[in-house]
Amino acid sequence: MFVSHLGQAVHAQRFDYAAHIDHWGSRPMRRGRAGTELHREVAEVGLTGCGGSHFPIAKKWGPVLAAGPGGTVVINGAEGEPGSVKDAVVMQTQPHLVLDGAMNVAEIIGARDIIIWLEESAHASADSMGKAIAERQHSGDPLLPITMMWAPSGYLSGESTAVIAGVRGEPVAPTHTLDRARPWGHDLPILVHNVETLARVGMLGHTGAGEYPRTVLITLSLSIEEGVLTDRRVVEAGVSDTIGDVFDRHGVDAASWILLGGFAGTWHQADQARLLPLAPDLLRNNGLSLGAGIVIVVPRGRELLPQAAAIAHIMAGESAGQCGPCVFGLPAVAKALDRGRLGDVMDLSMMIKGRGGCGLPDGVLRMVESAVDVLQEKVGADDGGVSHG
Amino acid sequence: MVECHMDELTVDINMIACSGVGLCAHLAPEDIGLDAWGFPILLNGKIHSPDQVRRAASSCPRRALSVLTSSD
Repeated sequence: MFVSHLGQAVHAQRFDYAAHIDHWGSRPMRRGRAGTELHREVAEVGLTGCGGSHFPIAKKWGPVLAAGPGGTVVINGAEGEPGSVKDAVVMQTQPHLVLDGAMNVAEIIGARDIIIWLEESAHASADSMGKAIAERQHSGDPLLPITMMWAPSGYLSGESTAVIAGVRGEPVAPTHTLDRARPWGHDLPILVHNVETLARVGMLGHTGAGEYPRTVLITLSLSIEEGVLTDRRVVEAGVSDTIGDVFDRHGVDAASWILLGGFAGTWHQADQARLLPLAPDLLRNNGLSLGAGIVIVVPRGRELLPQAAAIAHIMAGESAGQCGPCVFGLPAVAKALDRGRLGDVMDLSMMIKGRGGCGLPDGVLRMVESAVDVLQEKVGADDGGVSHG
Repeated sequence: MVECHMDELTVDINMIACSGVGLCAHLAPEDIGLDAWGFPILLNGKIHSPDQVRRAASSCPRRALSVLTSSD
């Protein structure tokens, strides 16, 4: 069933609507019992949010269903992070799978319209999605009212509370919410789903749980210099694979470190990282995450600390500028990293952690603390495990 | 009326609304401190002085502090 994988799409031409129908068939409607059935299958395959949260999708729909019919499904195509280009690839190769997924979700929750949320620089993705809408309308297959909206490019442009604010015509920045399960507040639900997540809901609607390909999409970056990523490729791997399997398949053999999960992820010595599983639940058991499916390789011979410092500076610059601990704290952390003052880094981290209005500062601190951890581990190993006090 | 026990009280700081005025730390010094840049930090896992914290919440010029009970 390899041809049914998203990864086939990654290297394939764009599926126009004729090719989509030829390969996947027509989308079965998902109102009523057919919707309940798909909801059950989403739970059965354990689909989690592919935008980085890895929150169970079937559970995410609970509060939306409880709110009653109405509301909006947002196709969130703002990846925000340079380490992730998989959603762009999905939109440019399988746009109709994304639309199928959005329609499935909309029918299950009783939404009235769909919004495609894109960074303003995402021209190729916008073209592909726009063309897909036209192809459907031309073929006479029904779509809900669907609109494209543009976000300023940046790390937080796809953060879900920022997306909700933007959809409402407010400034695109994270907002404060007491109830994380109902970030839309007292109004009609605005349900934000990552592009790959929706493509997977679309695919599941065609394959059923039995034939559903249990895979992950990964953006693999083979080099990083001063926080700038090069040689990026989108690859697909099975959930029973390890990082080492991915490395072997894509010729990664001269790595010193890897950053798992992107700029808010964790650093690992490359040799140890080879053993890590890709399954979201197994990673979670180890306190780890692929984030939005991101693996960044630092080639052999390059130091870790300057990379971590560069990323910390970049992320400090991506702050929405709304919260003191983030605005003042992250630049201080980045400067302490520049100077190699790892004790100061950890003290600052302890002061800032858990206090941002969104997840950005905690994500940066996770990345920074893991850099300190693996460096100190390495020092311990180089010393033969003997502490020099 | 449901009676609220002290250990059910939590404080929510809306850091997006907060501008670091610092009044809260003056009014509730047992529970709220300020970080190196003047922004509030909760000092304890459980609230020691609910009356002070309530006064701090109602006095915040940015309405950034809320006292919640578990029923919220």
